[in-house]
Amino acid sequence: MRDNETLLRIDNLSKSYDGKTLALDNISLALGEGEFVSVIGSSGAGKSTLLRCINGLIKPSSGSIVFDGVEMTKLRGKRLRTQRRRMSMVFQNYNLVLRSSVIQNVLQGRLGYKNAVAGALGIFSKEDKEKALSMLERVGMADFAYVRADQLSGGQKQRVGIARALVQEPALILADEPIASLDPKTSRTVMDLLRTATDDLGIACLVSLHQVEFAREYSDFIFGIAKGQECCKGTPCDFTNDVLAGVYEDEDLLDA
Amino acid sequence: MPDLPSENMRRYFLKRELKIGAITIAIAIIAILSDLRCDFNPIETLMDLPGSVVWTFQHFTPTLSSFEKLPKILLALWKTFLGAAAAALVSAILAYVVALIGCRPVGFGGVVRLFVRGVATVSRNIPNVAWAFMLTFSFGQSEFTGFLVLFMKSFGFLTRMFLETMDEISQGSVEALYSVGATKLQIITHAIVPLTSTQVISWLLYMTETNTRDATLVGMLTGSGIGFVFELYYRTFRYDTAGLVILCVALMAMGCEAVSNYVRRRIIQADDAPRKRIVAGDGKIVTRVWTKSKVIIVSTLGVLAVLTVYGFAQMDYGEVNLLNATLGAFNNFGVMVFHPGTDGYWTMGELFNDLVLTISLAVLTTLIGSILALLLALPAACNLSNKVVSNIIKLVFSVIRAIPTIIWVLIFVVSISLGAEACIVGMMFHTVAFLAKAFSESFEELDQGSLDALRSTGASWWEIVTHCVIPEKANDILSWIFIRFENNFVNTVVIAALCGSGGIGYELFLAANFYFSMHAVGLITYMCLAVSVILEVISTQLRKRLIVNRSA
Repeated sequence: MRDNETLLRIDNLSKSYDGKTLALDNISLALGEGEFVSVIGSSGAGKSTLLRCINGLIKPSSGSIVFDGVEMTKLRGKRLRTQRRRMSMVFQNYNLVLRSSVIQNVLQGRLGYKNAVAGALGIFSKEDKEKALSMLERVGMADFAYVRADQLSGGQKQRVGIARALVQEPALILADEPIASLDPKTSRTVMDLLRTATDDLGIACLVSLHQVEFAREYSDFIFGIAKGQECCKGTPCDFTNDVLAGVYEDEDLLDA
Repeated sequence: MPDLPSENMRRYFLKRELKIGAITIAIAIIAILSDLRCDFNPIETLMDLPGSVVWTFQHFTPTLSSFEKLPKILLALWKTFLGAAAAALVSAILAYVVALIGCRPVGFGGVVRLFVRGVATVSRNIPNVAWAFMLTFSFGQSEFTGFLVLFMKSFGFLTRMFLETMDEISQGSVEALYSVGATKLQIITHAIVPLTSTQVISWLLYMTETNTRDATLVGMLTGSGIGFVFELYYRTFRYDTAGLVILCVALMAMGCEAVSNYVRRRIIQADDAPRKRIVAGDGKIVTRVWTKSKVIIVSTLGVLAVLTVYGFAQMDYGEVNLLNATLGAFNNFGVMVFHPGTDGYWTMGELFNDLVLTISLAVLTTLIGSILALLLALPAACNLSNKVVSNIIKLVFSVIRAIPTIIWVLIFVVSISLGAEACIVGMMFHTVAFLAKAFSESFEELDQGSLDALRSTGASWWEIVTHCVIPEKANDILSWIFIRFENNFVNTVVIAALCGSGGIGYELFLAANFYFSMHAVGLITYMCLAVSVILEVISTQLRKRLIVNRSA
């Protein structure tokens, strides 16, 4: 599928929550290093499930997920944690620890690298702190370092979330509808940050989105899911409105 | 042709009136039956009341000579407070660890969780009385026993509360940390502790406060602390000194409540974070900042820790060998749990009969108390009356709640007589104060818009109450009444016995202190637990049926 080194390869992934209906039905997908891929589909199509299967938050029913040469579906415990720190996640609801300060939240991105005790006690090295600070500066939130997370606006919280994801020094960022709760201008800021992560830092991004226009504008490749099944994929140019109608079924996308 | 819309309307109102009528009749029947069982004459009581109030003021007012005993009283009070604080802190630490083991985010699920919840339920629902008897049996009468009794109850209560708090935290934050690759221990310190700290400190302070209130009764049962001192003066007819003790107890309770409220308010407030540059002058990056709320949380824990350590250092541990006593206690507990029986002292029929008596007393107290509380809560709510009246009423209730129920009852025992009257009237003070506070706080949460809407139609104050306040808050009112009822039942068990009304509590006393029969203590405890569980089930079911569905 691609020229660069394949970073993530998903083969025949299926997931059923209740044993009857399939949330994911035989999904196959490949992602190269430094590639920006969007996953689009309507609500309930399976985008969140797909992303969460990749980092093991959800156990798939069948299929294989190979990340950086390691089969993810069989991992447990320490091995799982070691693999997890190479991919970070950005959430729709930001998922910050709201009672902790911004800097504390960003530092938590380094926990995968710390041993159990030091991490638990919150003992971070000078390098950790410098990395956290530099990521905060990258997202433009350095002045808010000591502010408690629950006092930030949605866009600010998401930027902190991205800083936390970046400080992990991942090879891949999984973004689960990162801009679903944000206004258009803030959404653009967040998408810009993700794109510069790919361009400047070489981090691959797998982003699930509703907003088709953003998908077309920012991605190298788009993957469409409908009802748990792959419905179409290709470069942004391939995604004409007719193709999109298939993804969103009867919905009228031409007004989007 | 029948006029359909008005026919439907007629039927709707008829149905409503029948429902209300049925409920009223049901309540009336229960009230009358209870009344007959415990031989309580409300009219007679009402007539006795003024006289007894006067008598009380005449005899219980501290005199100059009683002030000579003040140092001794204050010392006992201080020791009691230390025991209460120690029980709260130690049980909180253990409860937090146990709750972590059973919680949803990081705990071990399944059987372990069930076990944790089971331990908490048992610990919480066994009445203080039963713990007191069982532990006094093994450890003798000492301050340490008093501490243990308070500990048992606190541990069960706090485990449940912490478990709920942990289960309710934002799952997203925990999920984010799992996806970062953090271990469970790291998730605990980085997510669970910050997200639960406010609630935990709040509950810790609440528990300290509650323990100081319960300490008097526990002291009477374990022969220690201020409860013992009160009983000493009370039974030797030195009512003026007893009155002084009451004053000191009330002041301590009010002081605790004030401090607790202040601290709880402070830690919830948002702090202004310093917007300074994060890199300090020497190039070191500062990641921890001391906000005001953090300072308060840490100092609260620190103060409690110091009090606890000091408390343990100077506590009287009694004359028993602690190790033997602990083993003995486990043994006794085993007998209670696995071998309940009457030991031939009573028949099951007699026990049931007395159980019904205890329940009847609780029913009457709660019923009359609820009605009074509802009436008093209305002027107490500051959005329904003016601020001055509201504050005065709240202050009076605060004072009433500061005096333990058992003392209220004992006052009425000497000023009216032994029997159901003293029990019901005495228990009513706390019932009314507690419910009126709960109701008025609920009323104060009413949306101002609804009240304004009715006011602008020209409705009178009473009409606003019956058409807006009560219907809106019916759920809350019912909930609180049931909570209080369950509470009253447990209280009545011991109080009815102490004021000569009998009931199942009297048999419990006999079993523990005269017959030394752990089998009987176990059986009676099971019966009380069964009633508690049945009450809880009934209340949940009733609330489900009567409650207005609040789906948005």
